[in-house]
Amino acid sequence: MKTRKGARGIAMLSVVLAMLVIVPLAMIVVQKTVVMNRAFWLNRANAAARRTADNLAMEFMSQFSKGNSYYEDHFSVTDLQRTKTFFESGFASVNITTNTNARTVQITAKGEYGINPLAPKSTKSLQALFYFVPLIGQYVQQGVFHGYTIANLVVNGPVRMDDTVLVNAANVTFNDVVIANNINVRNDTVFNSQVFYGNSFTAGATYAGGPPINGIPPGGFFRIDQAFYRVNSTTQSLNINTSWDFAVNANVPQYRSRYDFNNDYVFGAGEGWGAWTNIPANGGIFYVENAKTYLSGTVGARVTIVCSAPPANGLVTLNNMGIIAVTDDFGYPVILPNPQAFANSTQSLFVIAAYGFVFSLPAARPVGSTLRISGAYAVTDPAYDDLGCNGPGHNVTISHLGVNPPSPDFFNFLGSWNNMGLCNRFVPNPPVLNFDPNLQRFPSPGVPERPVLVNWRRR
Amino acid sequence: MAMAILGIVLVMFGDGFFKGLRSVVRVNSQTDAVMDIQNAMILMEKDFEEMTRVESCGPQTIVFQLDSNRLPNYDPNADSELFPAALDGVPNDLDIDDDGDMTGFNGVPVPGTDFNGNDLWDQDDDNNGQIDVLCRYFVANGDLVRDFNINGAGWGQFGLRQTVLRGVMGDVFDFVGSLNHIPGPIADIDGDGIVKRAEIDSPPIGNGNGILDTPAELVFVDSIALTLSQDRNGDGNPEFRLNTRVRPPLLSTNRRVL
Repeated sequence: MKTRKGARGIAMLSVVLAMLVIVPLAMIVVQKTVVMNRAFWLNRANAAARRTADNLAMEFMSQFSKGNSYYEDHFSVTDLQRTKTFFESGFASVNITTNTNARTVQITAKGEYGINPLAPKSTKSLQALFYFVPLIGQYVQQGVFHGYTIANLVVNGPVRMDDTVLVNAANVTFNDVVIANNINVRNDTVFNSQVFYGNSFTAGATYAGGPPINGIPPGGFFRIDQAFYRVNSTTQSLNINTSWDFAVNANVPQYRSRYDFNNDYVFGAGEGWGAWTNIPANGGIFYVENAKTYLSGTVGARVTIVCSAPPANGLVTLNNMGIIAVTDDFGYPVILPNPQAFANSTQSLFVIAAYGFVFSLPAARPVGSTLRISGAYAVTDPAYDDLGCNGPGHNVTISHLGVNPPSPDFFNFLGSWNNMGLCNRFVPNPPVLNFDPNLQRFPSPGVPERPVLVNWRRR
Repeated sequence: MAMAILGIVLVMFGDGFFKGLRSVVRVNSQTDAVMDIQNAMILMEKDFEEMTRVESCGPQTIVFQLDSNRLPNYDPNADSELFPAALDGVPNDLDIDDDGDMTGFNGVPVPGTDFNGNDLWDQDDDNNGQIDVLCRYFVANGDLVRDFNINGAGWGQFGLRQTVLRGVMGDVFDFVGSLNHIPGPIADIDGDGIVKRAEIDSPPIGNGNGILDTPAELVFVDSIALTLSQDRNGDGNPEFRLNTRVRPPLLSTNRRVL
């Protein structure tokens, strides 16, 4: 085919002109694609590094939550240690800061994306703070069932009953969280905080803290881990009834011991007090196994007292292993004008009995006295039953020694009351239970605990 | 004859040229959309992964709390204890409760508020009665906007409002609950194993107003589905669409049921 020179030139020119437009545009697109590709890879690297740091934090949470972790040493250097290792698509390393007094573990997790640990393509850090909450000390009252029978009662502090909260008195007010399978109350009951229920709630009551939420968080049921306390206690007594007396002598918190060697529940000749001994600065664990425990005095340190016994075969009587008898007021040093002190960073008291408690006013105190008890108290396997109250479930007694019940004394409790059915012999005066929120913040050593994430910060 | 052929060639060439040009422009536009959406995602992921509590949420808006460590003047090395009027000697970084007002069950705040408790519960670490950091994303006039309300000073203060994505099409947010968390299972009304936004918003849990805004509704929110579609040239067709899901780790950790 013949083509004129001019026409061929025009076509060529058109192609060149087109190329002049298309090629730069195409190059821009290619360049953008390259940049976008790089950005994608960088973003992916950042995301992978971030995930790696996240995963490390989650791994610690998993470690803290598994097995019989309530009683594990969460501050063990060996258990917390990690070497820098390949983790999914990158490397993970961690710095750990522990504070056994504040019960915290802070981890600073570093995630690095890439296969060369010396030249990571992206590095991201995450700081997480774990706090170990004691299983007891969370509620003013925790148990299976409780009936509120006092009109106009105001309940301060959270309440948890695995079965039922029953209110059959007028105008009862709950100012904190209430958790129960069944909330069975009068219509004039007021809940000023969130209510969680499992099975039912009384619709006619006032729920100022929001509508009740169906769902009960898992409980913190535990049994006393005898092996843990045998290894970790400050002082211990196996199979011998033991009495500990606490005091702050010359500003130093101390204790002394005596032992009922023949286990006749009387401290007779040759069973007197030993010397005063300092409580360790970071707190003490006092442990009695398969025997009865007696407590008295003033606790000026962070102290855990545990009295264990094997699961009971039926109900037991007052003098038995697994029972703790508290004679007279028992708590922290009183700073006037406070009648009862709260726990704090230097003093907290956790007392755990397998079967039950007996709180007594000594015979020397006049009728009409007030028995003051502070701290967190728990029964793990309630087996003691005070037959003075009709019906089972009274694994705690308050009494005035030497006075035939009922005795018109008063019972003031400040702390946390766990799994304890009270047989009140201070009639007609109802017991007063107040909550000490500081128990959660300043638990003593050796209290079963579980982890809570309280801080999460990317760096 | 030759001129006719040349004309046909030129027409064909011109058509190809303009098609090519259009393709280049379209690809360029799509590339820009990908970049825009990716940049928006970087910001959203950063905020969403530190979200501590959802305040309200609907298809085109979400309002949520961030921890006090996102305050512009947060100092991890300071000791901010104000109440009960005593520093505890623990730097904020290591303190479970920066302002020392933790009370109640696991630090559960006073009813209906977030003003005390451990650091993740407490969103008022300077005790001024205001939530320290509120963040929101919302669609306005086709733009996705990120905004902050610091210490109750109001939205859009301190120059913190920014448009993160222009030309947004359709709904952006959807919300999903989890069967694995209390109280997840009861919300799965149709029993399909997924707790959907409509189920959360429906009676008896929700109020059916189209957004999740009551405490009873918000307690179910576990993860957030994001759809980011951008129409840069206004032709009604998105240049790029991203569907993804973010599961803020602190939402379930910080839920008021423990």
